[in-house]
Formats: sequence, structure tokens, C-alpha cells
Amino acid sequence: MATIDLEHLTLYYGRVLAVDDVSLCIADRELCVLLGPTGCGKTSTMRMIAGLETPSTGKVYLDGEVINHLYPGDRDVAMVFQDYALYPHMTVKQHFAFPLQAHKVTKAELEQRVGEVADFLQLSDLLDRYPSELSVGQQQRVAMGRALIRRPKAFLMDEPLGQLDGRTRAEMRASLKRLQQELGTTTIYVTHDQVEAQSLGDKIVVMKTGLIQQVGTPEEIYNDPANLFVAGFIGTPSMNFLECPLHVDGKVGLKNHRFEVALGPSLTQKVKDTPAERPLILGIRPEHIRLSPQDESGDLPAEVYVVESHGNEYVVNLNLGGDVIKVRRDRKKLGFRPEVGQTVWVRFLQDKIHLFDKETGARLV
Amino acid sequence: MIADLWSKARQSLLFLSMVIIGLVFAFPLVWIAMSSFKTRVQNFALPPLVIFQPTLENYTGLFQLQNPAFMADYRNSFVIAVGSTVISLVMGCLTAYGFSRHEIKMGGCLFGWILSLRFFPVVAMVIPIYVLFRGLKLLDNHAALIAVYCIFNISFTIWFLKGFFDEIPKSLEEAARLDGYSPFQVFYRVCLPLVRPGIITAAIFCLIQSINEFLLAMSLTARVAETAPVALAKLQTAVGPDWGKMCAVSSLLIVPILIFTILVRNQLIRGMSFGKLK
Repeated sequence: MATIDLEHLTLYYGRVLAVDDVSLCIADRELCVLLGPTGCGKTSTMRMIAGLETPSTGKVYLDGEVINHLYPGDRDVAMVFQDYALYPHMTVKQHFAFPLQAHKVTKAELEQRVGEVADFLQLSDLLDRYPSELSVGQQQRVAMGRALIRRPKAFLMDEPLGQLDGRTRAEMRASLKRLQQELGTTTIYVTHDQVEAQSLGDKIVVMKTGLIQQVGTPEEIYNDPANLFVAGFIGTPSMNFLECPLHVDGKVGLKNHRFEVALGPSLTQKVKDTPAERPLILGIRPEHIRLSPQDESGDLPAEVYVVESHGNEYVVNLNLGGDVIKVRRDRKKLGFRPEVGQTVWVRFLQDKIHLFDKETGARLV
Repeated sequence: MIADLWSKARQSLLFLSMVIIGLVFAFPLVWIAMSSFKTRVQNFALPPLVIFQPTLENYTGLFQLQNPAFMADYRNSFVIAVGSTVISLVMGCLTAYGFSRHEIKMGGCLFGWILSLRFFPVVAMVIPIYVLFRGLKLLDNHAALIAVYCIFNISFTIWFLKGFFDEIPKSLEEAARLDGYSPFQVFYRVCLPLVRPGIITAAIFCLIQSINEFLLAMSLTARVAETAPVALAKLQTAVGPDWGKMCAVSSLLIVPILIFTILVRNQLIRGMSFGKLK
């Protein structure tokens, strides 16, 4: 069993605040992804758990015990580094044996465990090679093996797939997920890739400038983003944002100088306490916008700006009265091929509209 | 086709240049070795002899010398050089590692001061050191000369090896710490093997520096701790320098270093080029 709890963790690098009052609970056997842009504090948070950084304030708990004072090697956590951190002077076999030698494992047991891990990771034929003689994918597996062989309470992975090409990355993602589920080891995974986060994580922690923006399952993060940052960071293509003050003129709607969007009864009810003319931002995901070659009642006209072909989908960039929005539609379901310069009509699905406060960024609806 | 010819011609020219430069550098060493196998008369022959009947009289004569007692001096040179080198490498490695890995208050100034010791003119410090050692009754003493040589060798070693330690990614050490190794074990098992080229290069420089050193050895030693360069100077006889024996002494000093260098040449090349970690 390995639960990890972070209690009001703060970290300063000199005068720079890297992690700002982070509190988090990671359950046993959970794969928790720390997601955010470069410099958001996700790696620093992980390093505090590993003991490689000393928190300025706050506590780290492992299975209910405070571990702030423990040397990294005594915390029973294993880390896979972004650059793999392989020792140039050691063979693959020596890499696997190295952590076990620190814990005075018997030779027989060492040989057995090295063999097991090598077989599991398909590295049995490469045990006598040095890191410089391995491909990037093989190096990544050696780094994984060095962590696996220790059978730790928790894995910490700092963007381990970052150096792989797209296809290998996708394959390794699936392997990693399966591996973590089989082993049942609590894992903390750091990445800036939101696709990776959504495909791997049981829980995603979105961070920005040292602060936690939102914690939730991949579905919660995607469907109910807490604020503008999370909404814009998650999703490919990212959510469209349009500045639209709330407008009440008989019926409730969103209106700017370029277009007007009427709100249905459900949304009207949700914004009834919001002052009129309050600056809001409308957020709508590209797949939640309907596209039609003909004008249907209530649709907004837009000019096709760019058409991107993505396999069986189109991602159409539209000029909506000066704002550029993206629409993602299945080719077959769309029924027509948009042409650059063509005028098309768009309709936002009412139950998928998000409204954000322009000043605070918080989601209102 | 012209491009191929030009490429081949350029490679040939480069090779020829390398051979010429190699001969130019090797020539003094070869001439010293040859002269050590010549008689006194052969050494003064004009034009200089390239083909001659070699003799071992210069080498056998060294063993029979009483003043200087060459074999004792030869042994002293290597004991002092090796002793100074080993101490310098141990202390230099640890200090260089500390400078590389830890934020030290005024570390830049401290590092610069340490480096300045390397450049300090020996001639300016001979007399003060002599007075100091005389007061401490440390004249003509192996340990005293080793300590003095360490002043220069440690400062060089620290400066030289810091660059090597800087090249080691910190993530390697962090990985070892997480695996359960103590800070010293991380230094010993991870960092030291990776700076081996630097250590070997520093060792060669320290050995050469120590073996060649004359001024301090002449000033601080008499009979017990006298070194080979001092003995070499004593081969200036009343009738002129005994070139044969001087070249024999020089050859005997060069050969061990040469053998060591040849044995570790791969590491030396990596060290001289600040060999990249792979």
C-alpha cells in the first residue's frame, strides 16, 4: 500500500516561487499525472516527493508517515528521469544490478531479478551493451527497468516518453498503462502533453505557475474545466474562446459587436444571477460546433479560412466576424468539403457552451 | 574527379604534415636516447653520428656513481613524484567535486586563489620556503618536498578536474541517491569512473611536473632526498658536461612516463579533449 499526501508544499528557488501551497492526495495504486506547461512546478513537486528538493514549507507523507527528513534512497520510491540518467560506464546488466547492490541483495537473487526484468522489457540480448550502443527506445526501457527492479512503493516518472518519436511514444504509452495496472504501484507521472495525460492518468492535476488549477479525472478535466487556463490547455485542437458580454434584451444572450448568440432556457437559468453586460468569455470545443453549408435559423455566418485534413476528420478554421475559431467534424458526418473562402453557417451546441469570467478566468457555467 | 584528386592530395598533405610535426617533436627524445648509448668521443663528433657502435658504459657508470648516488636519487624522484601525485589527485578530486556540486560562498574567489597558486613563480618562493623548512627542521626530507610539490599539483588538479565534474549531469547522481547510495558512494561509484580520463591526464601532468622540478629540489634537499634533476646538474664535471651520462639519466626519467602514457593513451586523448560523456 502506498498513498502519497502533499500538505501545503511550497518551494522557493532563491526568490522565485516554484511551487505555491500545493496540497494533494494520491491514492494507493493510482496513476496521478501532473500536467502543465514548462515552469509550472510539476517537476519541482515530484522532486520534493523524491527528496531531491527540500520543501521550503509543507510536508510530504508516504503511507501516512512524514518523509521530509528522509534521504532519497530511504524513501522507497523509484524515479525515471527525463534524460534517463543512464551511467555511461555501466552495461545494461550493471544498471539493473546497481540499485540491488545498494541494498545488499544476495548474488543469486540479484541474478534472478535482473533476468526477470530483462525478459519483461525484452532486453535480455542487450545486457552487455553500454548506453551509447542502445537506441533511444532501448535506453528508455533500461531506465524503466532500473526503476522496476527495485519493486518500490511508488514510481515517479518525469516525462519518460519525451525523447521518443510519435509512434513509439503512442506504443509506450499503452505499455506503460498496462504495466502500471499489472503492478498496481502508485505512480506519479509528469508531462506537458495533455494527450499523454488523458490517456494515462486515473487522476490529472493541472498546474500553472506553481499553483494547482484543477484536480480530476480525465473526463472531468475535459468536460468541466475549472477555469480558462484548464479549458485552453486540454483538448486538441484547444477550446475556442470568444469575448461576449452577457446581454439581456427580452431574451438572454451573448453579444459583441460582431455576432450574437442566444442562450437556451437551461443556460439562461444558470446565468440569471450574473449582472448584465458583465464581460464574459464563451468557450466551446471544436467538436461541439455544428457546421452547415446552408443558413439554418439561429446560425452564425463564417468564412472558411483554412481547412486541415486529419485522417477521417476536418479541422476547419473559420473567420467569425474577425475571431478565428476551429471546428472539428467527421468527414462523412459533415457531408460536404469546405472550401477556403466559402461562407458556412455555425451553431454552438447549447449544452456544451462554457462561460468564463473574463477577469478571474473562473468558469461560471 | 578533380574534387577526388584534390581530396586525396589534401589527405596526403595532412598526413605528411603530421609525420613532420611528429618527427620534430620526437626528434629531441630520440636524440637523447641515442646519445645515451654513445661514448664521450662519439657525442662530440662532427658531423653528429647517426650510425654508431652503441655502448652501455653510460648506464653502467650511473650505478657506480657515489656523488651523486644516482640510483638513490632516481628512486627519490619517483617516490616524491608518485607521492605528490597521489595526494594531489585524492585531494584535488574531492575539492573539485565540491566546487562543482556545491554553492560555496565566495567560491569564485576561492577557486581563483587556488588557481593562482599554480602560476606563482617558484623562484619567488624558494627562499621563504627554505627559511621555513629550516626552522621546522624539514630540509632534505621526502615528505617536505612532497608537500611543496602538492602546492602546485593540487591547484592544477582542482582546476583541471572541476571541468570534468561539471560535465557530469546531476541526474546521474540523483538517480544513484534514489537507488540508496550515500553521497560518498555516489561520488566514488558514479562520478569518479566518469572522470577517469581527467584523472589520468592530471596524473601525467603532475608526474611530469614533479619529476622535472629542479629549483626547489636543489634548494631543499642535500643527500637523503636529492632527486634526479639535481643529480643531472651534478654531472656538469670540471672538464665539461658528461653528455652521455646526462642523456642516460634523462632517458631513465623519460621512459617510465612514456610507458605509462602509452598504456593510458586512449584515456589521455579523451582527457585532453575534455572527452564528452556518452
